[in-house]
Amino acid sequence: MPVSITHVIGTVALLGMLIAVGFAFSLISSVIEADLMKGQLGDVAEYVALNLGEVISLVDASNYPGVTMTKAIELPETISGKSYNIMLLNQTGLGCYVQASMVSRPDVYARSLIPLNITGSGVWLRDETVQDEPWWPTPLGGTVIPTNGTSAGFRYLVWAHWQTEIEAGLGREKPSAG
Amino acid sequence: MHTIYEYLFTGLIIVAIVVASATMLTSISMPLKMISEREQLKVTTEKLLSQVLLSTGSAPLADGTVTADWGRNLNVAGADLTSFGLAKQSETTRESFVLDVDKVQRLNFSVNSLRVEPRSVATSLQLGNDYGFALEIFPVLNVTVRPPKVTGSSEEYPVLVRNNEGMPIPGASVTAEMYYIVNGYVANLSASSVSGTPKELGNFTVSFDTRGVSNKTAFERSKTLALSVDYEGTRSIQFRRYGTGTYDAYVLGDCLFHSGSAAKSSGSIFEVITYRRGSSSYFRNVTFTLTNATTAADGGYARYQMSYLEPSAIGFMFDDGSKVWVASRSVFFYGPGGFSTIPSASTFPLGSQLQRVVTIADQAYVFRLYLWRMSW
Repeated sequence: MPVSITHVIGTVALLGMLIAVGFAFSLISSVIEADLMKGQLGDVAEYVALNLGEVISLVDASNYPGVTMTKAIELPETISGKSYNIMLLNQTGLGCYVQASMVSRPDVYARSLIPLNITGSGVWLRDETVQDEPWWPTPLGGTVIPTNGTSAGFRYLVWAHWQTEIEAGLGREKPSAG
Repeated sequence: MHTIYEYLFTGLIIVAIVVASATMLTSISMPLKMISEREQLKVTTEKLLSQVLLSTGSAPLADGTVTADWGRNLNVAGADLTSFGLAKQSETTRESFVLDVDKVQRLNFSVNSLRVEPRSVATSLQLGNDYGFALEIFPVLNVTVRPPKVTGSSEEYPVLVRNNEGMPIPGASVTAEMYYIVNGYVANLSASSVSGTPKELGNFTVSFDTRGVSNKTAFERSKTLALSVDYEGTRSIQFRRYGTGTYDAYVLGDCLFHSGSAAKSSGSIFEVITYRRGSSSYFRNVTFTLTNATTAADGGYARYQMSYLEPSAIGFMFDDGSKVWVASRSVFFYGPGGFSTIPSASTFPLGSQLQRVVTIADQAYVFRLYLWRMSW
């Protein structure tokens, strides 16, 4: 075989290998990055579940229908520089969960249990986006808008309200006018 | 031919670099992942502790309703719980970290059918097979009563008061009464003196002058010590039997249980209650009736119904003619054998631990929760 043909084959094989190896490396790093993001999402989900569980317990302990309790929470604006979502899930037979997921990669998510009860009954988690009513007044003078997402520039809080059953959710505080 | 070897060698170097880089990336990310998982375990522990201490828990009843006062309801078995919580149910606003004595006693109750097993708790907390846990409940004031010294007409009970780190508590207020049953009635003998020996080291001696006891035989058969130690609003109470004819009984809700079969179908039950005045506690006793002697569902235990249960009762005495049954409302379980998903373990696995001071039956206890992952 002439020497030049050998070089052509060798160079093409090396280039192919470089591409394959680069692709494999990006896959590996993507899996590792997803793993790390899952850990951070887990931290956020656990934190929200802890605070949500506490306000639900306090509203339940008040034994006073009509009472509303809120607690301000500090959420990171991004996870690894990327946007994320927080959802509240009340799955019949599985219980209540807080789920945090990446907006760009919904397959990267973490769930945290809110250990309320097995059946998920008695507590209504506001897992849908509510743009207007009800607006619960907060002790800080603002109002709480129940929400299921996150966005920068707002102060987030968890809230619970007891009417016929306990309603609870994640909200953001809108400062009072003036 | 050597040209091909050069390319192969170059290829091998590239693969080696990539494998090394991937290994480095993984090894760098592992500690971060471990830190994150440990933090999450801590938060999960805090979350579970809040649920257990602030929530009443619930269980469905046969009539379709749900009860939050499941501890005293003898129709509720441990496996019936839909949610687990030990907080005391109240018609008005509940006090935080005040636990229901019946719910707590269910965790290590002697009658099998009424005991709540760790697996049932894990199921109702939805822990699945991912986590293991253990609970410890012990008094804030570590009160030890040493064997009494009986000399003639005097009985001296050495009492050591320590905190949980074993440090002496010298300024505690110690109150004691000796209760005994004579001719079907309960009698009490107040401590003639409570002296420090030396008091600065948390050592006390509670003395009883038995010269006033008319029926020494009845006294020796049924004597039971009620002891209260108060320190800066923290209280620990013991109701300890010393009589030769006394045996352990158990109270749950308004029922009294004892091992064996019922010797009498009904009788009198003496309830010792306590109340505070200033920085000290005082004891009183009241008498109610026991009726409806039956055998508990899983056999081996007699069950009586009390006509009334005083909310502040700390001890109970019942004389069935042959034995004096003594029950206390104090709670104590400690160590891996106490209440754990792996009771056979000699130590707790590596995990997270959190504790709070709680109130049970007007006494201060440390409530400690251990949580660990079954797999990492």
